[in-house]
Amino acid sequence: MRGIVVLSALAAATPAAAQSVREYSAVRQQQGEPTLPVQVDYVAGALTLASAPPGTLYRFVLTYDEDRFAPLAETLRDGTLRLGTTALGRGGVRVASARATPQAATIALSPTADVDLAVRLDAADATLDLGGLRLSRVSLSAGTSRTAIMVGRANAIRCTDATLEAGAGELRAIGLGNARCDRVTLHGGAGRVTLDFSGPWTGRMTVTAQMKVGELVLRFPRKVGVRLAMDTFLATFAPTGLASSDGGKTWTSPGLAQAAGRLEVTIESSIGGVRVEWID
Amino acid sequence: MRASSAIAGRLIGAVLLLVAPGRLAADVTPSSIIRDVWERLQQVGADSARLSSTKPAPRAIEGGSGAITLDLTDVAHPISLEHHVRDAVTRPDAELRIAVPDGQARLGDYRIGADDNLKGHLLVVRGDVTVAGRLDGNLVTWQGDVIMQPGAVITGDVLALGGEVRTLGGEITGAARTLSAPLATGAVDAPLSMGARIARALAGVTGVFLMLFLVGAGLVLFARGPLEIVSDTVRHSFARAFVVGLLGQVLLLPTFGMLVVGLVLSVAGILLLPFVVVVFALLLLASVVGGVVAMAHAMGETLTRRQMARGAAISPNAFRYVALGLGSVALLWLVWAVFGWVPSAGPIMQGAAIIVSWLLGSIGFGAALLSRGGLREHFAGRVVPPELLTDEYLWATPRFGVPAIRRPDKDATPRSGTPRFPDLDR
Repeated sequence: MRGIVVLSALAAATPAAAQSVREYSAVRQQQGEPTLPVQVDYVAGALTLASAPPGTLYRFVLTYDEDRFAPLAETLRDGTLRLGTTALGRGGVRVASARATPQAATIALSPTADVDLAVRLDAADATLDLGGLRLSRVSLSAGTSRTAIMVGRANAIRCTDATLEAGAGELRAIGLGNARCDRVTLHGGAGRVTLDFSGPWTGRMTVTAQMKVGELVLRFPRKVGVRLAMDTFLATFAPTGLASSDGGKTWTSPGLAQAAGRLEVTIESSIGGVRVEWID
Repeated sequence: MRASSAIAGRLIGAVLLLVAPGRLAADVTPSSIIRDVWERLQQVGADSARLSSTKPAPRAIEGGSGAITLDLTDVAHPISLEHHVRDAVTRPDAELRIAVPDGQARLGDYRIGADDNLKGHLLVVRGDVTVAGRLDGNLVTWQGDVIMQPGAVITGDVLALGGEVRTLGGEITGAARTLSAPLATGAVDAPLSMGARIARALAGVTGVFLMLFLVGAGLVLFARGPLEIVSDTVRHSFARAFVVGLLGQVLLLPTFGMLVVGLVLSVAGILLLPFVVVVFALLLLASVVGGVVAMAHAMGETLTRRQMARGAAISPNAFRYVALGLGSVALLWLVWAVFGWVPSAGPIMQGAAIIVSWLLGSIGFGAALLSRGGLREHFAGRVVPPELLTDEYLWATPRFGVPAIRRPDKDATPRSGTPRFPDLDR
């Protein structure tokens, strides 16, 4: 009887089929292009974005599951470079074999062209190392991704606008002072967002943050003068190191008038929490 | 020699990749190491096969009648282009006919010399392309590499399908793209055979109903009273239970939403929110599972009583009721498990099983709501309402015309303790 059971189990078993993973790369040498508008659409997997060696306009290396995704590396009619992946109707992540077939992409962009960067992520684990890039504008839609933006070096040009949209994932933006953006706009969802404004401060930055349910952590350098306007509804606020003179609507840091760099922050928060931390 | 050195280099590279510090120590397990080594060996084996395979003799591929046309104007979409090229090169080498608009196709290795200036697009099948001169157009290779020599110029895009672009110098004004051959890695479940599918479905159905029976047995052992009240509510308020179950499902989410909003608006209630969410979910689960078990109990009781009415000598007990009721529902699913593979009929069986299960679940859920989880007997048919009482219960005791019996005399009591009744003795 036991033998019959074993034989039945063996007969019922089917061999596992191999999954089809492919590697795709696209490289372009720089030929004096002054600007580089880039749109990154990435559905799922790990993504790393950094600056390329001099002489390279862009380099894109992708390992992907060809049954579910297709690579994107094309120049649109308006000159925008589009990189990333697109789902083939059966998008998503193979959870059972995610370790065996990690979808991963590496993007390197020119350090000498003015980059207008728009990144749209769905369910990715992204690290955007923007230090060393000449950023003229940044836009990020993070969906349910876990995203880390790091600006380790000062932007060589002035960035006009940085728009960050965080859905239900986690977003950390470290070194926003290095980005040298005039305006930073945050649309937070249900996740946790950390905005770290460390970097060399000489100018003025306007930050508008709208948080719905998630938690917002603001890290200010002590040398920066901060003026923070709060509009909260059922949100907690820990104004560490800030003082208010109008009953909690506006908060300012000590030495605001003398500070070389200045941050004007406006926060609208529905449910959740806002926390202020200071960094030396 | 060159091939063997390349393979050796790749092996060394594979070993270096394995010991590279980029991987977290926590990610490195014996199985992952074995898998990585196997993948690298597969890759090396594939490269070795490609390098050692005999390349076709270099020649131009003619177009003409019967030729497949491949447009290389846009090589930015390698997937679709790869499909077209694959279709074009499936024929034996001798029968290859490919036409490239504004360009040419070649078979085997090809070299653009330092003094050459080639105009138009170029497709090279199963061969490497060495560029030392100039190419004004796009270059596509199928199972071959592109080697850019110093001083080489390509004024277009390069795409290597199943190959590499090796830049030793030179300039490509367009983009250089590579698309590897599929790498077999990882393992996913293949489509199951029919026997395996039936076995899996049978195991799933058996497991679910066995679990429900165990839950039912637990309820019989430890909460028999409430279970029987819910079961009686099913039997005596069948339609009412169904309607309540239906309404309960409809109002479930709004109720939960109102509860959450109410707690949030009360500010202090926010602290209770996680607790309430968990309790709500547990209550819902208990209502649904308990309702289903009670429904099975009611079905089993009805079936058992019918069998006994026909003279069957069986023992009526709650375990039998639950098992019989669940077994009746499981029959539907077992039929689907065995014959679910039949085209058209399979989905119909599945749909029928789903609908019947939902109906029974709704009735059980409604009965659980009606009886407040088995605490309220109002709808269980145990309390007889006054309007259902017959005249028999309304007969009053007559006050006249019935002679009262006389008390026995104290003195008439014998020593033995037996009372004496003078009237009767007389």
